[in-house]
Amino acid sequence: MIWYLLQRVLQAVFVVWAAYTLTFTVLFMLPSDPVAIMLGTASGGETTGIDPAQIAALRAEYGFDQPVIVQYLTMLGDALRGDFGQSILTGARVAERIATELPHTLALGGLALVLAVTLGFTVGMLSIYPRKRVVRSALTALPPLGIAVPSFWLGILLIQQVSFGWGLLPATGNEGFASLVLPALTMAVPTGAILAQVFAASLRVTLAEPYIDVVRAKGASRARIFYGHAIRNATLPTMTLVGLLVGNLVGGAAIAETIFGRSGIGRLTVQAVSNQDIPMVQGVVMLAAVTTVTVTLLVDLIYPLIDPRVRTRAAAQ
Amino acid sequence: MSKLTTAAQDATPSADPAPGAPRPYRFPKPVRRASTALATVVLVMILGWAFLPEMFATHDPVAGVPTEKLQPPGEEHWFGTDNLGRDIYSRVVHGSALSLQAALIAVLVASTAGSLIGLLAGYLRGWVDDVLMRMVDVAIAVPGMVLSLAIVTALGFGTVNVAVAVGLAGVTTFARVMRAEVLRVTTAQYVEAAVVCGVRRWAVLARHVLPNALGPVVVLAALEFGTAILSVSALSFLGFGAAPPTPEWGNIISEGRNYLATAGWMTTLPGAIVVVVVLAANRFARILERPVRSEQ
Amino acid sequence: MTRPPNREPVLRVRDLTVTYHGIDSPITAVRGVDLDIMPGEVVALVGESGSGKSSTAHAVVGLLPPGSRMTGSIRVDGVEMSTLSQARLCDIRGRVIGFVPQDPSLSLDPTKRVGDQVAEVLRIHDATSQRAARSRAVDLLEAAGLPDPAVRAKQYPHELSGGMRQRVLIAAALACRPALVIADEPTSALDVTVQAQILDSLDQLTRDMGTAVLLVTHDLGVAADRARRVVVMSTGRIVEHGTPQTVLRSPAHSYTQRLIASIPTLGTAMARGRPEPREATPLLVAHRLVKEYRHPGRSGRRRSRFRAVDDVSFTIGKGETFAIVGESGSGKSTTARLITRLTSATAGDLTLGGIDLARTKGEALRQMRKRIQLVHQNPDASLDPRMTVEAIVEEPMWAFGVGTAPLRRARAADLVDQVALPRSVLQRRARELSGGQRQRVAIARALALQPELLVCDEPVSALDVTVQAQILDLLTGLQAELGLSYLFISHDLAVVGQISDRVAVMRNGRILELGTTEEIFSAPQSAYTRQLLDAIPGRGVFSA
Repeated sequence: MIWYLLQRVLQAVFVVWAAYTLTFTVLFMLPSDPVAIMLGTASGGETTGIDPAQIAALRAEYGFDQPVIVQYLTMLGDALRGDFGQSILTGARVAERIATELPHTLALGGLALVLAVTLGFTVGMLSIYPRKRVVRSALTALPPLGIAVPSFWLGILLIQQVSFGWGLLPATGNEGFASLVLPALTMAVPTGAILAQVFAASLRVTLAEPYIDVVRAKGASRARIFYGHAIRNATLPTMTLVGLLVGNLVGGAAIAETIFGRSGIGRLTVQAVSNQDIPMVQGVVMLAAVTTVTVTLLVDLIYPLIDPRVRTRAAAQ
Repeated sequence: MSKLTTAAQDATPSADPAPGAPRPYRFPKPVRRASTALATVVLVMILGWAFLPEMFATHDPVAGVPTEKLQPPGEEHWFGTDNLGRDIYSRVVHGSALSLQAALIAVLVASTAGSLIGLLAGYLRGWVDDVLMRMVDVAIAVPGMVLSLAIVTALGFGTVNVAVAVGLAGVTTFARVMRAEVLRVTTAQYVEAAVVCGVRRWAVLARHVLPNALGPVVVLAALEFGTAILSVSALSFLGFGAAPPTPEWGNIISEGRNYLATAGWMTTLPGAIVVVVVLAANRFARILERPVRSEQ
Repeated sequence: MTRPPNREPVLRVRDLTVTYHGIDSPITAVRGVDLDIMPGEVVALVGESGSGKSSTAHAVVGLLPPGSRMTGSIRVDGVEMSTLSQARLCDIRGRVIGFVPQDPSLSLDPTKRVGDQVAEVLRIHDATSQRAARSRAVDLLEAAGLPDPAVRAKQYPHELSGGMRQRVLIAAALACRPALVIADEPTSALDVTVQAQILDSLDQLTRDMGTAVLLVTHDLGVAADRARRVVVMSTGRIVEHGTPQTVLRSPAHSYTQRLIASIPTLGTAMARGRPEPREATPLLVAHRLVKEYRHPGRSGRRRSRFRAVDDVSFTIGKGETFAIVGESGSGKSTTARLITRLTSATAGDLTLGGIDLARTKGEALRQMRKRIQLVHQNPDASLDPRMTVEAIVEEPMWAFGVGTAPLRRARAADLVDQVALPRSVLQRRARELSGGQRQRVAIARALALQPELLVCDEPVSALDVTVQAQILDLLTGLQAELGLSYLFISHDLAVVGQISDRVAVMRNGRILELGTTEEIFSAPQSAYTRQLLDAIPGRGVFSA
């Protein structure tokens, strides 16, 4: 069991390191020159006619004159200490900026996750459980719709209807729980739709298993079959999705925060990409990677507690 | 010769279906028929928009008539006009070529690269499999949208770059599905049988493994097309796609953001078109899925 | 404690019809079945796949899949089932009717302790506490013959063997002392020796409780051994019923006659009396073969290894049929894979006609494949679903560049003739054929390169009995015609007795006993072989 834990943690550490290397490769080796970007934005787009000495000085200051491998190792060393360098746009420390923005996004993402899971499981369950076919058909049609709706458009519709139309919830802003509801819903719908589809499919497969026939032959009621056996077994494959879903939410935050004018990691990301602020982008990518890896690791650790088969396998290692 | 007489006797088809074999949920037949017909109409229409925009558009997509700005949908302007007096319907029609192109590029990038990785990993196994799939695991750790954003940062903005970024973020999905399919097929007895018959390794791949593994990958590609439309327009909405005034579904919707309270049609109608197209594409993927599923 | 005598049948089925949604048109699986079972009576419902026997059983328990339609009357203990409300139906299931399913490996909830799964029946029907139900479940498991019931009750299904799981399912089915138990092929997924023990336990328990049993089986031997009455079904109808003696000895219906004639038994095996094994020149020599696998998921400890094949030696002569018999896990299939070089031996020698086979690689190995061909167990899986029969049969010739395309097509047609299939199958795809026809296609493909040795890995175990007999006839005929040698792998001693010259009995990777068929069947040396022979169902009825 200890071996299982250790193995999983080591795997997670490896993935985070490899993700760092991957983003470094993508961001620093592709043909974009951070110094040119820096000077370009600083002088309003006119990059010609800038003193070459100034460029060289900037290169030296940020270490871009070093060989790539040296840059990589230096930055990796710094990253291990929690230092992701500074924004080439504003000069702010990347780690500090992320730390300031993170709480906003955590609150938003947390609410969105709760909504997505509630929505997903409820809709998934209700597309299988009811006896009336009309009800099941209607609920089965919902997730495909949720998946086809662009989340940015959904956010706009919500603002138009709920905020402007009915005057219920604020359209923009950071203040209070009320301002969280609409953006969280915007993020939760596509994610919840995927969850609902996977859960419904998984329930359908589970209900066709021979052991459900045996339970039925024991005289179990419909409710007992669902709550006692099917839901638990159908949840297991759905759990492996959670890591992916949290990742989806991180991406969704970029859209939701932009539309609803909230500050947070998503907004920070969009600004950083717009200005090609490479260190900032890298910081955000690493945050996203660490988040998904941690969530996946947690699921891996919880899984044996729920599934006795995995427990046996884990204990054997 | 008793062989001849006996062979025909066991030809009765089995009457006991596997009790309760799971199959995907099916809507009532009329619903399915209607949605298939609708999806076909939508896809044909959109392809028309993309290939012959001049035939369908009613106005110039770029040059606006300032005096006709912010008009609500009506007989003259089906989707209304925007703040520069441009006809929104014509902008959506002209935007479909770029938006569909981008989605197509994204799916091509993702499916070609992903299938190749999955094929190599699944067929060669051993260290190739280990190395490739560890790389896929790493790429999966970075959420698709975030990875696309990072790639756009590095490549720069524009429709093609956005498409490539979305495509690269989708490589992992294809790699995993392809690998799983190749593994399923290579452990199938008919592949073993081909090996015993003396068929060479690469001929086994070409004759048995690929044709039997490809079905689910094609279905995935069809499904990813809808997803790619959404991702591409999201990035375009954020301002990383085509530079204005060139129309693209994402940036058309984005342009209406400042007029939500006064000119809702600027966002509502173009968005509805995106939803309808994605629904039609996904419906099409489901139609492809049925023969593939029944084969397995 | 037995139930009071009762004149009323415990199960009374009248004019039962079951229809499923087919792909194009509805399929009628059961057509007007009448069936009575008296209290305490054991009735066997026998038939091949597609006969409607399982559908009948499922209809009685109310387990027909959604989308199926049922008409007719089913009365259990005097209560008409077809008009009952869902709640009353739930009350009867489990309490009045018990159900023992087919495949124990899939029939227990993988996430619940087995004791609780037995206790669940009691919790549903008796208003007992969880504690009382649990302790009662342990008693029931003990009565069903599960060793260490108190410990086992706390375990999960995956920690139990197939036989143990079936005991758990029997305990659950009998927990409420039902008046009737429906057992749907309760042992067909188990090894022969386990099969006999499980059926003994079921017999014992139902006799003690006075429970009537409807035993659904494809195996006439099992039916004859266990039932007081045998009911034979074919294509949805009951074609014959009576005591085992009358049905088996003097069958009235032509289908039953054919069914009985097809069953390989010790009687028929010995009666056929193959010619004395010739002093044949050795074709294949296996010398001290070993195949080791590293145990999966044991990286914590030092390498632990598992020997699937352990020091196995044998010789197959030209024109001879050599059989390997064993239960699951005996290493017989791994041996077949070693011979066909689908996997390589860890140690040992293998020669074919004096040429080394164990260490041949690459192109040389490919050339050797012309001489050894394989017929798989499951013809559904061994034919590429996308190819036509013609392409499948031609493939080996194509691979070796034999002849031109028209010549290969002509040869494919000849091969199809040789396995007694109509030429019209050439343009069809494998999935359009029946199981027996597919196996004929697989044999035709194996013959395409005129091999010297044909390895048959359980070639008939996936087929119905009547089809089995036809395929075995075909193999025997081809051998006489072409002078083939066979390596015949099977779990079924009766089948082996019918076809082979010499037999090796394998267990736990080793050969326990090797001799002529005559020697093995009439004077088995090892206790295990005797056990296997005793476990063959239907010995008493058939050989007498």
